[in-house]
Amino acid sequence: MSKLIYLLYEGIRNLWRHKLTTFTAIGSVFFSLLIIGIFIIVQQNSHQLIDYVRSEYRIEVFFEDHVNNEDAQLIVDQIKELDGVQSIAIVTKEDALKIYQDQFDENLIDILGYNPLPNSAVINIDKHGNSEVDVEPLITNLEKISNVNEVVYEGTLIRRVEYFYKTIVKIISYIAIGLLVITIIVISNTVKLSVYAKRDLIQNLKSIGATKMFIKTPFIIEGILDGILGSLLAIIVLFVAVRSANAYFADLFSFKILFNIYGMVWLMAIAILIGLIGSYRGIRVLLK
Amino acid sequence: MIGFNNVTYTYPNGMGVFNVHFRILPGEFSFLIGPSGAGKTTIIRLIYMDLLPDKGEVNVNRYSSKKIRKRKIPHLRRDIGMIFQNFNLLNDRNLFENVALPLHIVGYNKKEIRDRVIAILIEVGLEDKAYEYPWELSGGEQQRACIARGLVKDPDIILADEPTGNLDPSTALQIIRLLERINRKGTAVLMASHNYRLIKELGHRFIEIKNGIIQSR
Ligand SMILES: Nc1ncnc2c1ncn2[C@@H]1O[C@H](COP(=O)(O)OP(=O)(O)OP(=O)(O)O)[C@@H](O)[C@H]1O
Ligand SMILES: [Mg+2]
Repeated sequence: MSKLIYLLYEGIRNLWRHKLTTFTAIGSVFFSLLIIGIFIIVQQNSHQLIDYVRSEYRIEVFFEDHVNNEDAQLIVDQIKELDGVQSIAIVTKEDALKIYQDQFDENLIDILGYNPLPNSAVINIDKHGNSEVDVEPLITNLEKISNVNEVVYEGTLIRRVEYFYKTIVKIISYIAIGLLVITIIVISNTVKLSVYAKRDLIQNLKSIGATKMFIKTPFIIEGILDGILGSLLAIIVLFVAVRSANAYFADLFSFKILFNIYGMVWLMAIAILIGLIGSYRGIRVLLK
Repeated sequence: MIGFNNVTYTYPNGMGVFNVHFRILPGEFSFLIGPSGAGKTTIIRLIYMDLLPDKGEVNVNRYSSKKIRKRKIPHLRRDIGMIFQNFNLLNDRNLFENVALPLHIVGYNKKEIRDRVIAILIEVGLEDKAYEYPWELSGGEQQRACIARGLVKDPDIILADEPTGNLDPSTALQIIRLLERINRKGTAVLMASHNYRLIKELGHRFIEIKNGIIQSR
């Protein structure tokens, strides 16, 4: 226990001792986490957007003319069991007539003397979180059901929205990974410098019986602290930026930028991991 | 305590020590003497297993160079007090912290460390300088601090590589007297030196080495 406190203290001292390199390391963690944090915020908010678009996805199923209300209910029960169906609402001939009348202000019975509209149903599709929504299998299954006359859906729109969303997520991930790699390299170089500046101490510690773990731990703590401090800075800046943006635009839009604290916890976890990997890489060279 | 059995160690350039054979008993005070480049530091490094022999075997306490696992080497070193020519104190911390370092390695608690370090600093006569930094001290004081650091864990043996090399003769003699005092309390001392004149009168055992070969022991 007292050993741990000592090693922690030594790690903090390392930070302080090499202020310039520490500054570089924290700065680069800050910079890359700032970008990644912006991505996370954009992603969380585009999530709001895509969820809205996806809630508009619906499939209409028209039944054969001869299907009566009871038969329609049976088919609906069958559809409910299919994969990808979140909910289904039946639209009876009578409902359809009313909708038609509301929309076109014409009473079809007055004109034709009978109700030409078939029974139908509206399906809301299941959208699971981040993954792309693929409706094609569901459509195929729906078309296989007997007494289904026609399936209507916004195929191209759905495909386009999903493709666009997928591409954006991919590009953002690549940029984020690139930034993380760069930051790891910067941290490992910082720690390498710190190790190099203290090679006397290391030699010294070795000759008086320090284990490798004892020698390494302060440097690892140094790297982790670089990560924590850099990410804290980034989180504070993001938080202030989102707050003031929301305040500034409050009168203009009803849309509020979400600032999800879990995203920020992730950010810090990433930073700690970066610090850990970076410092491990940094000491590897001198302490094999 | 320390045993060299026909030990040979060669550096890549062909220099080194050859067929070294000697023994040091618990509580003994010995000088390892020889001109510059003779192989004294090499022998010391073989003792704390910074180098492992190409041939033969080094025994230190219960450890053998043939059997020791890398992981155990730090443990071996904890029973040895190391003192170097260039003092090897850390300039980024005061004397107290320098002397406390070996205790941190073993994981002593704060109070134990305080008590031990103060006691040792009194023993080497540096209690007034505990909170000064190495660069604020004279060479002799630095070397005494280094001895304090070597002693703080109560080792069975002190290995001193040319501890007087950077000191004037009277300070050097002071350091040797300090080592003798420590030795009288039961700690074995092996001190490497090339300064034959300084030590020939002192009446201790000599192990003499030249060109990597033991001349007398
Ligand atoms: N790391 C090394 N690589 C190659 N040769 C070395 C190395 N260290 C020492 N030597 C050579 O081995 C021989 C013995 O060196 P050693 O350091 O043991 O001598 P020494 O007796 O301690 O000398 P000094 O009194 O100058 O400290 C010397 O010829 C030296 O040049
Ligand atoms: Mg030497």
